Amino acid sequence: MTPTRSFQRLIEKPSLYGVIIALTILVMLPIVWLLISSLKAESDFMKWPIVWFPPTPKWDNYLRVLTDTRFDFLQAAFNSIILALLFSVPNVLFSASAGYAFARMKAPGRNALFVILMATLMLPQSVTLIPQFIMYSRLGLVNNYLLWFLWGLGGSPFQILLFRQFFAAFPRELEDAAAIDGAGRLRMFIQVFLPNAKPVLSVTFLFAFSWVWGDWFNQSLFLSGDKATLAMKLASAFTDPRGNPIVTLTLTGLVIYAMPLVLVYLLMQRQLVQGIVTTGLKG
Amino acid sequence: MTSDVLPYAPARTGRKILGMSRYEWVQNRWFYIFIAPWFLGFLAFTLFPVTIGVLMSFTNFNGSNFQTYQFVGLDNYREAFTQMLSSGDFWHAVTVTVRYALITIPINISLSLFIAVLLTRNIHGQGLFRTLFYIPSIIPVVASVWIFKALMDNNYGVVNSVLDALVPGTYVRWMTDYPFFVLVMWSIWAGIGGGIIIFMAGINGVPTEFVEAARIDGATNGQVFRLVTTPLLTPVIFYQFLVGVIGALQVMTQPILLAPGGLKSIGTIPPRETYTLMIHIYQESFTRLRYGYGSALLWLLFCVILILTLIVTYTSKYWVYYEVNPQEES
Repeated sequence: MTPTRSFQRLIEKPSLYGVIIALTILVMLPIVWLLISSLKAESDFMKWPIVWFPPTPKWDNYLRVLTDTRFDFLQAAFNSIILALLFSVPNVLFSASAGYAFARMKAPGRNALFVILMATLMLPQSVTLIPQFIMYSRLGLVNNYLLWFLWGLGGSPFQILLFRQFFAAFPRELEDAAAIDGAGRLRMFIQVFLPNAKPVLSVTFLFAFSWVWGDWFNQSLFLSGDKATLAMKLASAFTDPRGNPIVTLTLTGLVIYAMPLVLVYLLMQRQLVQGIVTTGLKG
Repeated sequence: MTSDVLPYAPARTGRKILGMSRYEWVQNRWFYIFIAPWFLGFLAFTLFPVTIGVLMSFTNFNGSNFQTYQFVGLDNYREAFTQMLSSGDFWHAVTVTVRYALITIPINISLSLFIAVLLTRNIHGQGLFRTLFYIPSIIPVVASVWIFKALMDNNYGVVNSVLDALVPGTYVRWMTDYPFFVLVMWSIWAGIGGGIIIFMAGINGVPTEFVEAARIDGATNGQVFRLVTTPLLTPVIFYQFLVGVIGALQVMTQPILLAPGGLKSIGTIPPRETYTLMIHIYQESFTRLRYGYGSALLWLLFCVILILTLIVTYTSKYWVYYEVNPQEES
C-alpha cells in the first residue's frame, strides 16, 4: 500500500463513521424524543422555551395509561390482540399449505395459478375498497371480528411466497423417506414440513400479527364503539374530563403500543431481515 | 397429463372432476386441496369485488338503491374527466398525490441506497446500524405519525425550539402551513429502513470476484460503485421503484392522522395540501354516497398504476441489467 493510499484510508474511515453515526442519531432522535416525552408532566411538555428533560421522570404516566378506566387502554389492547390472533393463525397455516403446494407439487394449471398469485401481490388493495365494504355490510360483517378471521383463511400472497421459497429448498430425500413410510400428502405436510419450518412460521406469524396490530385503515373502516382497537384509540389524543387533549399520556400509550413490536424485532431480526430480503417487500 | 404417459390409467372414464378424469384427479387432488383456501379467498376477496367494482363504476349506485340503480354508461368517467379539465377537487387530489410520489420515491431510493453503500463499506457494527435504521419502519403508523406531530408542533414542537435557539424569533407553523413537508419527512423517516435492508443484501450479494477484478484493473471505490455495483443493483432499484409507485399513489392513512385536531376517524379531511386521491375517493364514495362515481375514480387510479408499471417495465430493458435470464424457471 502506497503512503498516499494508507493516508487516504486513515481519514476516510473516521469520516465514514462520522457520517453514519450522524445519520443514525438523526433517525433515532424522534424515538428518543418519544421516550423522553412519555415521562413528562403535561405542563412541562407544553412549556416554552422547551423543557428538554423532565425534572423528575413521571413513571406513573405508564401506570395511569394502563389503569385509568376513562382511557380503556387494556380493553383496546385486548381487542387488538384478539383481532391480530384471529387473522394471523389461519393466515400462517393456510399460507403455509398453499406455499407447500406451489413448492412441492405439480398439477395441471399450477403455473397459471402462480401467475394469479403474483398478480394479486402487485394489485393495489384500494381497488377493491368500495365493493368489499358493500359486500361486508350486506353480509353483516361490518363491526364484526369474524371478517379478520375470513381474511386470514385466504392466506396472503406475500406469506405464500415466503413459504414457497422455504419449502422449495427442502431436501428431496426427506419427502421420499416419508413417502416410503407410507405418509400421504397431508401427513407429510403436517409431520415433516411444518415441524421443520419453524423459522418461517415465526417470521410469517410476526408479519401477520404486526400487520393487524399496526393497521389503522381497515380497523377504522370496519370497526367502531366497544370493538375499537389500540390503533383506533391512539389515533386520537387522550383527553381529560373537560375534553382537553393530554399529549404526554397519549405518547406514553404509544410507547406501550409500539414497544412489543420493536422488542420482538430486536430479538428476531436475523430471520425477519431474511424474510424482507427474500420477497423484496417490507412486511 | 394424458394417458399415454400414464399407461396404467384405467380405461373407465366415468365422471369428470374439474375437467380431469378420475385417475388424474386422484393424482393431483392434494395440490388443489392445499391451495383451495387461498384460491377461495382470491375469488371472494379479490376477483368478485373487482368484478363488482367494474360494474359499479358504470352505475349510479348510492349504497342503498340495490333494486333501483341504473346503468349510466360512461357518465361517471366523463364527470371525472370534466373535473380534471375544470381543475376540480379530483384534479387537485391527483396533483397532490403525483407530487408526493415524485418527491418521496426518488429521495427514499437514493437515500437508502446511499446509506446501504456506507454500511457495506467494511465497517464495524454493520448489523447494529442496520437494526437502528429499520426501527422507524417497525413502529406502527399511528405511533410514528404522532411522533412527527409532537416534533413539528406549532407551539411546543422540538423543531421550532431548535430553530428558535439558532435564529431567535423563528416560528414556523409546520402543521398548518407546511403539512405536505411534514408528510414527506415522515415518509422518508419511516420508509428508508426497508430499502436499506434490501439494498445491503443486494450489495453484499455482488460477487467478490467482480469487485476484485475491477480493483486489480485499478478502479477506485467510486468507480467500483458506479460501474460494478450499480448495474448489478438495477433490478433491485427497479423493483423498489415499482413497489414505491404502487404504495405512494394509494397514500391515505398518514395525511388523515397528521391532520390538525384531536379526534381522528377515517372520514377526517386533512388540509388541502395533503388532500390525496384516495382521500378524495373515500369522500366521494362514503361521505357523499356516490359509490358509482367513486368506483370509476378507483379504476382510473388502477389504470394509472398499471400504465406506469407497464412503462417502467418496458423501459427497464434500457437500464436494468439482468445477469441471469429474467424468465428463469418459477
